Amino acid sequence: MHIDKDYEMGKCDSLIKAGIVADCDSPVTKGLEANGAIINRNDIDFSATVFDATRKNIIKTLVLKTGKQGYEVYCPGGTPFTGAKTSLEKKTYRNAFTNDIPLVILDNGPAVCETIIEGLANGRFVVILRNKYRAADGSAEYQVYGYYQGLTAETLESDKYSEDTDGGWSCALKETGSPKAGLYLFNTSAATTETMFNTLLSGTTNSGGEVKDPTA
Amino acid sequence: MTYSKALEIAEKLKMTISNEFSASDKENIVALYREVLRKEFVKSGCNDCYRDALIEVYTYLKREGKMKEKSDYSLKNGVVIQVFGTNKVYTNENITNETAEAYLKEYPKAINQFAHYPDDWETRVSGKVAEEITLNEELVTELAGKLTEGATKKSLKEDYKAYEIDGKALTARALDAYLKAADELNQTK
Repeated sequence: MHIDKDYEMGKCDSLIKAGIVADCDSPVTKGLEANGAIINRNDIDFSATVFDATRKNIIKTLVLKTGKQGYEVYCPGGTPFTGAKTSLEKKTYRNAFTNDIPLVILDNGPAVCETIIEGLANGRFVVILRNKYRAADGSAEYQVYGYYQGLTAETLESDKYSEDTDGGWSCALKETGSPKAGLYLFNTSAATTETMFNTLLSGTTNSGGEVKDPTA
Repeated sequence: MTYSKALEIAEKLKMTISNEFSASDKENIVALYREVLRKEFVKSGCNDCYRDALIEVYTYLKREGKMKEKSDYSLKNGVVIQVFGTNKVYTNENITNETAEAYLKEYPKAINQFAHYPDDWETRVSGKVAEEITLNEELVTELAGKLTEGATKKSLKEDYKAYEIDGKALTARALDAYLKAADELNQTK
């Protein structure tokens, strides 16, 4: 049996595997939807997370640790998350990818500073954004950034006279050294994936039933 | 909390729905939401979150005529399960013991995707008939009393793990059965 040396164990292939052509049936289209999710990277249960067996850039189930949840990120305007991009990062032995994700926090005050800004300043995050382009089977909608290295804040500022944020905050998150050009969240169908995405944002737990009687 | 008590509280809160909710009203709505729907209230940026939550609770109570049943299993956030041969998707909103056990029978390694599960899940999944437990009524009443006083099931499991009946320590499965019976006893009161 002939084994191509590029496929030998431990030697990852660096070959293209399809023609570089446009998808005429499902043409690519630019832009992002206005909402996504941000998750503290430490809250991800990597041991329980499942990748698609055949399509290696797809996470089938992104699992959070018990009691942990993601949070919604919302960016209003005609071009939400403007500046979100992935670019090649040249390295000595193996090139990688850099992800840049801008966020705006259109709010300010003690609670915002405590619960959001100070966390953003020091934490490491995974962000899921929704592409307007879904691909024919829906697999291109939910794109995951920060899974491998985590997104960290590059800039975080509140300009009191900013015309864009009106005194709120703007934040630029960056991940360097990601081995994959794009990582997507997709399980079976668009509907199932949407349900799965919503459970990431949910505080649901049906075992913690002991609560005080509100009238007591 | 019983169904009638939950409905009574929801109706009382509904009377003030056109006014601004007080801080204690909001606390009550959060607690009611958790108790009736078995899920946590998540406050996002919306203006009418508490009003919407109260309507959801009230509608559920009126439509279903009961509180949402508590499953012994809950999934970690981000997980949905699909039982082979069906196209139905299960989340914490609709998971039942039967669904979870059918899924775990097929994929036992997926237990790491569950946030909570009974100690005897393997026995349940394998379908082996568990030994019948004869409950000691005194202990059921004692546990029911402690639950009413505000003790949590988790703390009771810890406190009673070394408890002995006829010289034999309670197994985790037996303790689960006792707590379930104590819960049922409180519901009937």
